[in-house]
Amino acid sequence: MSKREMMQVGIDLGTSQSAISVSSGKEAVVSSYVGWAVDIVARKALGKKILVGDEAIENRTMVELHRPLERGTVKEGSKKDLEAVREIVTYLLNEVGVDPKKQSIRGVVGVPAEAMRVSKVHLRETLEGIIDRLLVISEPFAVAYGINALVNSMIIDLGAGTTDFCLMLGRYPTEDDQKTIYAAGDYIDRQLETVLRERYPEARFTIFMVREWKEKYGFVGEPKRRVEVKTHVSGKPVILDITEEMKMACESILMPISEALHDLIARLDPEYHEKIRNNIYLSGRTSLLPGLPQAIEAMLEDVGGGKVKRVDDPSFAGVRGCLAVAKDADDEEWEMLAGV
Amino acid sequence: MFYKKYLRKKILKEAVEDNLGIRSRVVKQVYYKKDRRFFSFMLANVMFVSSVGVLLFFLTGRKVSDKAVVVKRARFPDVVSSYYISKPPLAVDLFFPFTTFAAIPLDAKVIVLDPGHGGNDLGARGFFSVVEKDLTLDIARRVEKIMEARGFSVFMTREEDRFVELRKRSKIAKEVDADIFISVHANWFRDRRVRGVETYYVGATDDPHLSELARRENMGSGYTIAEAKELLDQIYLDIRRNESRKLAVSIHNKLVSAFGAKRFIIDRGVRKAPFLVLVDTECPAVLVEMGYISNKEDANLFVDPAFREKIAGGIVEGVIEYIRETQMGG
Repeated sequence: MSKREMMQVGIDLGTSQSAISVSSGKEAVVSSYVGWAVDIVARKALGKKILVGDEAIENRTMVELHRPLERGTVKEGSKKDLEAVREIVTYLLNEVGVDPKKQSIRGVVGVPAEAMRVSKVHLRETLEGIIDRLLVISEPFAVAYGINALVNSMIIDLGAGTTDFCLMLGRYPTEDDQKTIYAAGDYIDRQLETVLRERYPEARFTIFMVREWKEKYGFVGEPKRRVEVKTHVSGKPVILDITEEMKMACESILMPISEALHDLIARLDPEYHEKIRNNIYLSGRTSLLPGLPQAIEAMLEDVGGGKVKRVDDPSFAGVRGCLAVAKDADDEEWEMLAGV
Repeated sequence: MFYKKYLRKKILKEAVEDNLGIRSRVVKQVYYKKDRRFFSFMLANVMFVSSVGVLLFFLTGRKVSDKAVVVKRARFPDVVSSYYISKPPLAVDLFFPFTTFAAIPLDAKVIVLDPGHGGNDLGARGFFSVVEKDLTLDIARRVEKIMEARGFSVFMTREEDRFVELRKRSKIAKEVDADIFISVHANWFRDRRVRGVETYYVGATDDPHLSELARRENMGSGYTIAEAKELLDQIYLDIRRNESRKLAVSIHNKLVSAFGAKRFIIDRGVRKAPFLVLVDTECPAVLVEMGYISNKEDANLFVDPAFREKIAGGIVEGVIEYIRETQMGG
């Protein structure tokens, strides 16, 4: 039997989106949804049994839809969700032309900062048989590694399910250096949905529409233009001005972020405070909200100010960091991980 | 440049070691299960031999018969042969020591930590925005960390901010064959002057305050009235309650002494109340109410991470003390 080609892979398993970056230079992203055709009719109409990503969302009336990555880690206890994670990873590998049967995969997977050990163990079991050698690291650490911000910096990785904070102090972050809060993209979606339902009880919209509106028009601070969205009231198409609601929902994450940020910095000796405050990086899809870095800088003014930068291409910063780790790990280290 | 390269290498190595730590935990659990099977086998053997010995003791006086020695030698040839040759043993010397906890250390290795509330169930809300569900999770994680460093296998009924039914919490303890179950809570009372730490084991109470507390903590249990009644009837007769009481006393004493007498926290004692989460476990189980977040002074203490760490340390010390006492046959 011929020796399988070795491939390094970085994977970011996110609540909303999952991404992959491989050593060949290819990258892919997919919505973290998997749908199984509900019956033979649906299967025939869809032309396949399993749909992954946006295709599954679009055809959700014909599939049993699963969003398996609750808060960035595999939901425990559901066989279907475990299968869904495997489907997502298999889909991503297929998208970038990697075949687990023909290639030996050394994978680094990013998980939320505070994902507990049992969750990590769970992830390992789930990916068994697809990835040959696996290293699990925290997502914000992956970002820090990718952009080489390893000393006296803080990464705030704003995903859909979680916002992860990580202090980088020239060492692999311990649990004390990290913090996870659940004020993130999904939290904004829920806030927006709630306030819109209260304000426009007659209007028809779904959480998917709300998410889309947030991604297109979300902002923090002063609006650059009015936010107007199309929906239906009593079957008739209408345009709603949701500028105030959007602002309120998007800014609802600021206070929890401020608390977590100050809490983490306060754990350090005072001489590090200023250095860290001037080295804060935002990553993750939710960090794309216009005005967010400025709003966080404004929150730091009370404690002496600071600089907050959004990393280049925030949606891929984590997965590229994972790939960087995969590329830097020596054969010897992969050997150690072989049995993991 | 060289430093940056060195730093990346160093940090990467630490990341790999962190992952190997995860593996060792899995491996440890697998070995532990094997240990338990081996232990059960040994215990069965020892009990059988003990029974024969005690029977002989009563039938033949204090001298053990040759037959019994043969049986013992055959089972433990390497351990006991020289002892038998130099000093003909008494039946009690031979067999009884093997049946004490000191001779067969009944280790408690699997600990289930139950951070109270979670998800939509916030628990109590107190001063300084302290929310019970967050506090309990934080402290349980700290306990987990210390316990793992001490070699325990620790399982959490929830590891994140999500709602878990009480029924499922005790089910987890059963599934992992828990040796000890500790539910972590923070208290609330309408009289904001009330403060202090209380440790509970399951039992009946006629104190209306405790009944109200139990009602609050039992919300969302998932049990029917009939099931709950049956469980409570069983537990009040159960020998396990005594072990739970001992565990509660150990933990409570260590918690209180962790703070230098009563300078920082008020000792409200070990109590019993019908908490359903404690009823349906199959091991010693306690519920720690770490303080009253409805009291400004207690809530202010909980804001300090060093205090939370001390609470966690006190719980761990209490568990270790309980195990030590159990091993000594106390």
